[in-house]
Amino acid sequence: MTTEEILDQIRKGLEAVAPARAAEFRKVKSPEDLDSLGLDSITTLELVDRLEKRLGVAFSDDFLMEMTSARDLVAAIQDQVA
Amino acid sequence: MTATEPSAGNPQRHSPRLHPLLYDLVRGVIRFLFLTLSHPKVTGLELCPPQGPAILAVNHLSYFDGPMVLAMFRRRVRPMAADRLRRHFFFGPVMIATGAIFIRRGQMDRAAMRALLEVLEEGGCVAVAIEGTRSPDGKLREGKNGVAYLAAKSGAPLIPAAVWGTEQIWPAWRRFRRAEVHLSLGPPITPASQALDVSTLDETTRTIMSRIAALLPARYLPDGQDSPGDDKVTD
Repeated sequence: MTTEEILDQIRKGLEAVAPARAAEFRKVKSPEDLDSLGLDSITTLELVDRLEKRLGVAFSDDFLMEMTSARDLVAAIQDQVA
Repeated sequence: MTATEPSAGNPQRHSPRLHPLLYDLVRGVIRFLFLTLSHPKVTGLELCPPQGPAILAVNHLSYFDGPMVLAMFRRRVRPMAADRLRRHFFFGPVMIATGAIFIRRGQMDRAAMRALLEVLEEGGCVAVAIEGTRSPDGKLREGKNGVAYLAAKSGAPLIPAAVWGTEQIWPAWRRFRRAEVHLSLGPPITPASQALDVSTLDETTRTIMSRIAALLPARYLPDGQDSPGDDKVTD
């Protein structure tokens, strides 16, 4: 799965979690753009739940706690779906 | 650590086990201390269901808020507490003995959220500081969506709970006086929707915050909000 495909899944997930910000999410072109969105922990938690269900991946709680950027999340998805 | 590495400990259980006898013993001691060293005034306790899942959404002024809630309730209440409190010389042991669920603020602590949901699934009652942290000036702060998320995920009723006067306990003790401390509950709110989108969670949070504001004296409300409650309450 390419980074662009993963970002597309993340954009879709975010649009479902926070539809009011859909236009903002559609402008996301890189993991760094995701970091600049200022998502709160509950929004991110719900996004991660949806990604796990949609992509059939699983993240450990420790990983989520220590995740510092969206690039970590993208890399973890790539590792699992490769 | 890898992304899929399981969490340490028992993977089947997320919340610490509650030891009823220890809980009741600690609650008894705390209750005794509150009754002798302060003047507690409690209203609306009957509004909390005596059994079954329930979420107490509490404002937060002082370290004494959690122990006061535990002491005044007849049913066992599992507090959510900041992880750093685990190491506090007094409140740490109290929180551990009462089965507190510790959360790392500012991090995506899914394990803590799972633990809270597990307690609710088992028919327990949890107390959560809806503002996420103590108010530095005593005024009600903006609510966070964590409580609304818990309610939407679990379907448990949300009970607004206002605590005040606890910030005066320590200053009063230093003057050899007893502070008047208050705990007041409002009617339970069941979110109209269990949707987990941000707009729905925001709406539930606004509703519960307006209910807490309606219970608090005006001096604890943010400047410019001198009329507690508002017309956004929808249940």
